[in-house]
Amino acid sequence: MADRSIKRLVTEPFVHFLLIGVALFGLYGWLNDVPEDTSVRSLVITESDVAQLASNFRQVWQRPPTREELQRLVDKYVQEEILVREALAMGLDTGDAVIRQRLRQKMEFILDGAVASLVPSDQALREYYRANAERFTTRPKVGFQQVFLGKTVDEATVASTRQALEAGAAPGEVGQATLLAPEMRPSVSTTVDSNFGVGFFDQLVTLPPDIWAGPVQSAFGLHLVKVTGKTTGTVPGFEAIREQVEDAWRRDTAERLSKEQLLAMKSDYDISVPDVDGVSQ
Amino acid sequence: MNRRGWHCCLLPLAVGFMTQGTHGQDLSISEDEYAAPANPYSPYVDDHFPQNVYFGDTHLHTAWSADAGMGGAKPGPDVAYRAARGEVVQSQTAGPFKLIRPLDFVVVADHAENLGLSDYLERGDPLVRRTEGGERWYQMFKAGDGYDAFIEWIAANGRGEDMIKSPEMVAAVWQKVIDNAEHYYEPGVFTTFIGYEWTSGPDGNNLHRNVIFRDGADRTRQVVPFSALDSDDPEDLWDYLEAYEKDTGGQVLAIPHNGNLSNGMMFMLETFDGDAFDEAYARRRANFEPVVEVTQPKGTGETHPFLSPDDAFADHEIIDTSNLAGSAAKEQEMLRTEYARSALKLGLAEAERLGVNPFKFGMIGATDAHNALPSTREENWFGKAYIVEPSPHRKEGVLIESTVDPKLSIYDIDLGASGLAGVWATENTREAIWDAFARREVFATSGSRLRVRVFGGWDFQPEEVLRPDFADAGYSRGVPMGGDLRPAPEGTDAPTFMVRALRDPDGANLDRIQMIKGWVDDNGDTQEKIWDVACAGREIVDGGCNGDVGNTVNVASASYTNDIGSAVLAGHWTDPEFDPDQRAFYYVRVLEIPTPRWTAYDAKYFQIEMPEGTPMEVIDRAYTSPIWYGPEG
Repeated sequence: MADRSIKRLVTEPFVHFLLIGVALFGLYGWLNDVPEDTSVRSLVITESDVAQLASNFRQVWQRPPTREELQRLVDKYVQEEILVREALAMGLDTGDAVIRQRLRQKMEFILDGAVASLVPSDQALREYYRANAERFTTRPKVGFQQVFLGKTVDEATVASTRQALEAGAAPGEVGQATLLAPEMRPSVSTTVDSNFGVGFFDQLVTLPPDIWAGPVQSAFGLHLVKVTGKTTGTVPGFEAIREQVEDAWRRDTAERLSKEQLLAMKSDYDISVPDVDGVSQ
Repeated sequence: MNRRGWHCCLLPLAVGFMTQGTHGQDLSISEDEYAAPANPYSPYVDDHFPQNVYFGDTHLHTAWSADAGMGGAKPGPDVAYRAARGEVVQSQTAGPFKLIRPLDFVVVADHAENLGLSDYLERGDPLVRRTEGGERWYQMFKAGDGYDAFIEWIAANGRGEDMIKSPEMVAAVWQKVIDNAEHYYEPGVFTTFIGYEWTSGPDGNNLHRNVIFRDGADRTRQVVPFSALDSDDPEDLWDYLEAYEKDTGGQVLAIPHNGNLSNGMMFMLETFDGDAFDEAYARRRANFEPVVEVTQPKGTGETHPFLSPDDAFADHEIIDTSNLAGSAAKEQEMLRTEYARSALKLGLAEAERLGVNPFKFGMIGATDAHNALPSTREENWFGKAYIVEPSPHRKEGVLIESTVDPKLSIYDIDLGASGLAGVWATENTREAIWDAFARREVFATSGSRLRVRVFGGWDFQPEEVLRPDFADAGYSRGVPMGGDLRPAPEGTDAPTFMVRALRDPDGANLDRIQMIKGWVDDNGDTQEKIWDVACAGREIVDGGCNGDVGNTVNVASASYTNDIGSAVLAGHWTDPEFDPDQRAFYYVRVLEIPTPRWTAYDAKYFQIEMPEGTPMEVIDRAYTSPIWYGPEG
């Protein structure tokens, strides 16, 4: 599988143009005796920069660099710094989709990373848990038996089927052929509706227990239903679902923070955009 | 196994008890264990058979698969699990995504080869940076050259070379894979299996298998994945599976897929080393690979028009120009050992020779999606990877680009919005669903949640198939899909089958139910034949539906109606050509009425023209696992 978005960039004429431009510029500078730049700018590498280079090296190679290696790293760093500054001075970074994307990724990475490393206090989590109790409520369940009556059914058949069931007929002996489970143990709404179609569960919760009630409408037709068990949703104790609360907290916080960050940054700008309608016409 | 377990499993316990009893042991069985009323009020207490279908995906990839993550995919296992259990999640490129209904189960089956690599590189994890290749790719990632790292990874993977070689990382990622599955497992509501994909592809030919454990963390933590970097030979994989079962007391199986991209290798009649099968090989293969994935986006592998010229519906979502890598063109003679129906026939012939059938497999579908979204519905298809997510451009996209010839590439437009596994199980747990895979009581769908049930026996009567509790008779006097016909009782002359199918509650009506038979004739040649056994609104004439079901598809509005077809179909069928001396299998195919293909939904949503010749309609369908007959009984 190929990453087309990046591949597209690599094959994009603009990128080629840019690369050729850079090459030409270098060639031009080399061939022509460029006069000395009189305004000498300072490029200071601090000790902490060198320490950082050494530490990067150590992370990779599991040993400190030798003196020569460190010197080479510093020289390379100086070179890189000069090229980057020159490129920036020439404005090579503007309008480059790859660089923009990379910068955006870096910002997102920093923002996401900040959230991932947050450790919520016990109290913060408990507060969050209380404030969002409905999200942690276990889902209600209904268990039931059902008899399929067909796509449509007349009242007499409903009555006689119900009578037969009340008189003790086995549910498997009456009704129409289907492939739906004759009995479901207490199940959540999504499970029930996956089998019987959307809205079936909501009808069941309103039915009285232990009697053959209905008919109830499913995606396939009508059913007589005997509710055999119901559990309502409860909120488990905090300790029991602490991990789940923290997951949710983290997702929420990440979403909120990244929105807030963007808003905060946005507020530093006086943004003016044209009416898109005018452009798209 | 709980009290609703199987007769087959309870029986040995009972026998054990009696044996011990005769030796005079005091087993002090308490009263409530034996004094239960002989006939409980609830008629289902003694139902030891499945009454419900669970739908799931055994083949879902995330960014933790190196081919996805290194290629720029972002959504990881959390997104996959949350999407599968029905939450709204963000797709990488096409906005929010939600399944119409949650899946009942899922296997996040990321590739074992360099599992988790891009996640480790993104985070600059010391485990990966400690390796030479890892540090190199980390620097490339950091510099924004992830695509070059991807290309290098593909090349290395193609050579079978592990550029990371870090057993520590393999172990660490595997622990996380297990943690993820454990975290999302909610027995009774949503089952997650611990698993991965073994990605063997010698010369670009697809021999992939998904490995699925029945067990939880306690057992699976004792091993690490076996990858194609360890070996490309399926027999070596089976050695690993065997060792796992022996060492941990657990159970595990493997599901092959995409024989259609194997250039003849998936069901070739020789071992990886080129030897003829022997009995031990056949036994091991049938044991560890009870199920084959026959339909998914990269092609449906039930059968091929070349192999089944008399099958009017053999041309469903076929991808047949090359192997997986697009490195070698397909030759017609390869097809015979690529497609499931043909392999089932070859299996019969091998059984004739060896006494054991190496290709005794059931059938399922799966998504093989690499974007963490297990989507299979035509109107909600989020593609095979993030580069195939809905957009005005996916009609021109290339999923796998051949370096040899553009004709051998796999194009997005040819991918199908497929498929799912339907499982007849007693409950929604790892144990119950895995056991159904092991006994092959499963079926494939090309994406919808239509359900189908078949029983084979010797004395089923036509009126029985209409009884609401036909499964009762089905299990007591016959066998379900995936089983072997019991020996014929005295005085019966041909097997009879009861079949029922019910459409997806939110899907298209059904057109017909078909019985597909394969057998070995008296000359030792394999044969196949199809009978229609139930037709919506039509009579059956000479074994076929009298006329087509019709078509309500409006391509421009990407819509259809259920004014034709039927929500439920039932059929009773006796094999009119049965010969007790001929080895045979029978499986059922259910066809829906025609519906708009995902290409029609794309065209409508994005207001675009599809390239000329693009299929805009599809006949979604289900295939059951076969029921086998052997003269030895």
